[in-house]
Amino acid sequence: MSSPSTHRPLVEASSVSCRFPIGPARPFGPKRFVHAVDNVDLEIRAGETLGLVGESGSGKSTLGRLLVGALPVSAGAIRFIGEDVTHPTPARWYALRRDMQLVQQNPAAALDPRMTVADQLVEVLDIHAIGARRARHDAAAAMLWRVGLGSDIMRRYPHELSGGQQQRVAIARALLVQPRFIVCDEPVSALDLSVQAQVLNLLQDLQSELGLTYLFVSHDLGVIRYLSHRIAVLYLGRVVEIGARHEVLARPLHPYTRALLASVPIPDPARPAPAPQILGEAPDPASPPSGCRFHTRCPLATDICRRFAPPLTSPTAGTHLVACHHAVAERSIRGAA
Amino acid sequence: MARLVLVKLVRAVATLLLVVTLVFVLLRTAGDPLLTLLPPDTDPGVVEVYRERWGLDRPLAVQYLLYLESVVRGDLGRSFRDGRDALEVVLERVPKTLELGGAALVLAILLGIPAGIVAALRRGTFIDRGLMILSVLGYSLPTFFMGVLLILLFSLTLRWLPSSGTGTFLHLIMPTLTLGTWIAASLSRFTRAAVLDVLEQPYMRTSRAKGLTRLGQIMRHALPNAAIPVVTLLGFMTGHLIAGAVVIETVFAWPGVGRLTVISVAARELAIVQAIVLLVAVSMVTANLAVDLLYGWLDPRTRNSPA
Repeated sequence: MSSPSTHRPLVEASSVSCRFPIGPARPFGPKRFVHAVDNVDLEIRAGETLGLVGESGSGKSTLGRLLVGALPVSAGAIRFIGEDVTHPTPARWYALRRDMQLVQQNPAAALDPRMTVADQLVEVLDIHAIGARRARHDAAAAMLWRVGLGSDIMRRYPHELSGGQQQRVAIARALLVQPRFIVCDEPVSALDLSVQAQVLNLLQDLQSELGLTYLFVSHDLGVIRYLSHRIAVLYLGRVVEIGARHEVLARPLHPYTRALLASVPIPDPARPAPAPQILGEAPDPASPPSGCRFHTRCPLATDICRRFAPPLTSPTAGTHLVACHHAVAERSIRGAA
Repeated sequence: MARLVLVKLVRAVATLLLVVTLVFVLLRTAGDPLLTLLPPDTDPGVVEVYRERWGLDRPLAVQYLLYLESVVRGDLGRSFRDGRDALEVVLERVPKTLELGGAALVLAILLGIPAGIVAALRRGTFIDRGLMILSVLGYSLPTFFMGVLLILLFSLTLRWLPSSGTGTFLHLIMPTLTLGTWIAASLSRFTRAAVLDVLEQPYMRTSRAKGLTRLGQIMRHALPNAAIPVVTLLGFMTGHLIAGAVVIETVFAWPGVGRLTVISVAARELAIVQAIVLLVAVSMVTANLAVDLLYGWLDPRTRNSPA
């Protein structure tokens, strides 16, 4: 943001918002909207994994879908390698599917239950006319092999596969077009713990082999910690903190990030359970709090928080950004204590 | 797959046996058949002769087995009035009923399924609301009322169509319209719900990510999946058609099974009513079986499930 970087970001979101209409609060009342994503600025650099973390309802999945063009942007702009892809023409949108892909949360539901694995994979190659028609089946099998599956599952239906196999098929499906950017929307949260690690390792291997760029959406800090180069924290549709993994994890600047980190259970019965740092429930996204959206639950909230939304800035003049009026003050308080 | 078909077949036969048995029990508990059949002033000696001739003096178990045997042979008794074979009387009505039912079903499919799909794809819009209001109207207007309205308009006022009877294509129009719109109304609601359900599935988002156009998505992924519940409903509707549309056949004096049911019940033609009940049971069971097998083809998930 400060100095023009030498390498352009692969994906760039500037002031991106997405709102959904919901029913009026009372009959014939004014139409209401949920601002699922509100004025988000984000850069994803080529080859990196940006972990996007937040609780449910924070808009992290929505943001992911916006970035791959799976949802229309209400305001703001999205750029892909410098090109504005906010509202592409149908032809351009279609072509962009080969650059950006989506891996979804529930692999069982993300695959068409009526089609065999082979049919679903070959369909992708058909849509984009990749390779000779007769070679497509083999290309699909090769991609399955790449994600660690034998070609014997080609004739199977999704329900005949295990959760891990389903997600591998979904990943293979996304990879068939050889995309550069993949949004992984909670790709392992529906899987068994033992399978989670396998799929995460697979994603990591594929990244280094193919030079992929990931936006990795998860509510699970453990998964985010394992995989991300940088971490962005989303709260009620806004980025409250973003920075390199070690910065965000070791020196979280936003009280919400700190609370998230403190709430991760530590598998040690001798240690006391962490005290809850966030007060109450997340507010209704349809009528978010004024000013800083976190002020209703923040232990540090003061008058300014209720009045003004804090900008995303760096208190250290580095790449670690935070949107909190007290981020700097809080540090000095902690230093004094 | 072969094992699955076998299991379903055995189940179908078991269901039929149950229905046949139920009919037997009902007929026996309805009272002494001789007293209902013979005139009240018949000589008791004559009654006994008939009792012996028809095997009604034998133990109930034997009677049941004999009855089963005759059902299997297709002998369902005779009409009291003219002594004709009951099954024959019923079966000669079936083509007319199927003609009306088939035409109505085709009309319902042509109207109801596209309406349901369009309503789902245009959810919440003026088009959706309009179609669904029409559907509620079509479903809640009683068929006898709708039928009479049509007769008033097309037969009495405009004099375009014959008000009753059968024979020409013109005779078929109004009964088909009445029955067809009624079926279309429920079919469109059902189709709309099925399509809406599928549209929200994550694999629809996947298909978008693949690069399919909206139309491609709908044709390749939405409709085939939404077809699963719709086909089930259609199967049951088809099975039901053989019973005839009792009310509509009566309103339009359509000589089908439905009207025969009304006439036979009124005339206490037990053998014929029994034949109709069995015929309906057979067609329902067959439709069920067909739907089950079709399901296996439509929905791979049901193929190797033990159920």
